[in-house]
Amino acid sequence: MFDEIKKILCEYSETDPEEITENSRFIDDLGMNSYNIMCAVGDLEDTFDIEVNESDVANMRTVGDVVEYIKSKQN
Amino acid sequence: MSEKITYPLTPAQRMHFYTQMQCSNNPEVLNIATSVLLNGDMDFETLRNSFFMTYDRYEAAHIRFSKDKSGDIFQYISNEPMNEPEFLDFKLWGKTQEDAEAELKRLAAVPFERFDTQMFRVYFLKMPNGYTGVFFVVDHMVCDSSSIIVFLGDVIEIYCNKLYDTPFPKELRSYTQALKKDLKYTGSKAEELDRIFWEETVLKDEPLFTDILGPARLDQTRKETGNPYKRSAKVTSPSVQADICTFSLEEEPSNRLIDYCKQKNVPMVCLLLSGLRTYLSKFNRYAEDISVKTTVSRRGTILERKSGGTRIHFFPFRMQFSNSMKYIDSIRKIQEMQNKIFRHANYDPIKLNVEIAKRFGNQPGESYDSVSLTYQPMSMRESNDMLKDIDYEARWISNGVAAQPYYLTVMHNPETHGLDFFWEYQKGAATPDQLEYIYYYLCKILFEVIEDDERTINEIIETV
Repeated sequence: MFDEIKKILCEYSETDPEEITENSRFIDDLGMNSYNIMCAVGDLEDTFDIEVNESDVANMRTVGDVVEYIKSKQN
Repeated sequence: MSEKITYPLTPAQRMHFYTQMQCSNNPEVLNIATSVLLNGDMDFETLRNSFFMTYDRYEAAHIRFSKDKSGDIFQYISNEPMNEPEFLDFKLWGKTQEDAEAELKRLAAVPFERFDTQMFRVYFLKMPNGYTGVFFVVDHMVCDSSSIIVFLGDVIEIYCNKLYDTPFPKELRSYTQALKKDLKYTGSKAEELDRIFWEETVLKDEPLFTDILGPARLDQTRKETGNPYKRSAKVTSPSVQADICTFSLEEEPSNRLIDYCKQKNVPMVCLLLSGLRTYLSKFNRYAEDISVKTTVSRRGTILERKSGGTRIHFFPFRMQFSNSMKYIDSIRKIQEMQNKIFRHANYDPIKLNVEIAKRFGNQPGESYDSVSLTYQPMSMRESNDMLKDIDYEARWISNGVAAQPYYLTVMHNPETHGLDFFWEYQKGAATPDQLEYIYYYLCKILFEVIEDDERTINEIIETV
């Protein structure tokens, strides 16, 4: 799952893929902004067949938060 | 010889074209002009070569428009070489700084021939104050501010590479690849989902017009139409003559706002939108249904960010909630709404505007919002590592006209490290003094909020 998320994030962030970890923060480490975070959320929904509530997005600050969120949605 | 490949206009381009038709006496309304000036001498031969190299790698710079037999406008990518930059040596000509700036303003307002011609002009400058550099004028159907930053940033990086052996800039991306993706959207399932979103927000019931100068404009429209319950107002003006003015917030207070946003994990634009909503409510009979125009850059992926073109969509941002709400909750609500708008921002803004007018029976030129707000966090300096230590100035120059009464852009100023509140306004709609008053009021609201955001919107309104 992490690799698939990383693949999506690489479409949005110019950070070297090797440097993306579960601890990477979207804004501070990956240089993303609210707009590309929301676009990436759309891609995650398509890839993992889940629905993400906009109000949940504010609580996702790191890649690890997204991994946990998707796991919780899939369970 | 192979036939050129043609593409229809995107909704973003059609929106600009439509704006120009509305302002047919002022075709320069679509010009955007910017200057990038360094303190000292530049090597103009190297600069010229850098421009030509960027032109070769930047497909979007080759966009041309044309008309078919039925009058429909299309676009294509031209193989024509770039026009030679024009050299303006104001210093040699013994001009004053004011003369030079007046001439740049004049050049910023020279419209482009619309068809089968290069849609940007490059001037090399020697200013009377010793600064040298570039003046760049482009048509909005080809570039928006993001693509100008990418275009000029690439030129400067190549220039630095040639002169100072700094790293060569990363590759730019294909405009046609991004364009094809954009054009596939029409008629898709995604478009239908977006239509439903707008139906459930802006179209669910009639919004209410509010103006930064108070309810006079709405009252006037009510009087003219003989409808005391009218909720939209005429925002177009016979004169689109415009000017710009900037108010700068110093570094320390700007940092307080930035720190607040970091601490609360809310985007700066949502704090600004909430401040503007509060201001509009206070000066429009405490209205609770406030709309402003928001701009969405639609540059999420690297492809979208580096492929140029014009992608901005303007949408109504409707903030409809009670003023008895806790202020922090209202910011969160705005954030949630903004996130929703981002997800539905590919929808054609013209289609939406047509539907709004049809649904609520509005006449041409009537709207629910008077002011557009854009937050631009990234300046050219911040987007480019090599520029961080160079003494230069980059600024936008007015083309002298504007289609809407007021545009507010809040941006980081890399020189002062504070926030600049940049107004572009129709001269007939407001005066610089009025805009300064609004700026101070807006700041007053924002600093009250960051002091204690647990208060209600009403309490903040009463305090300021």
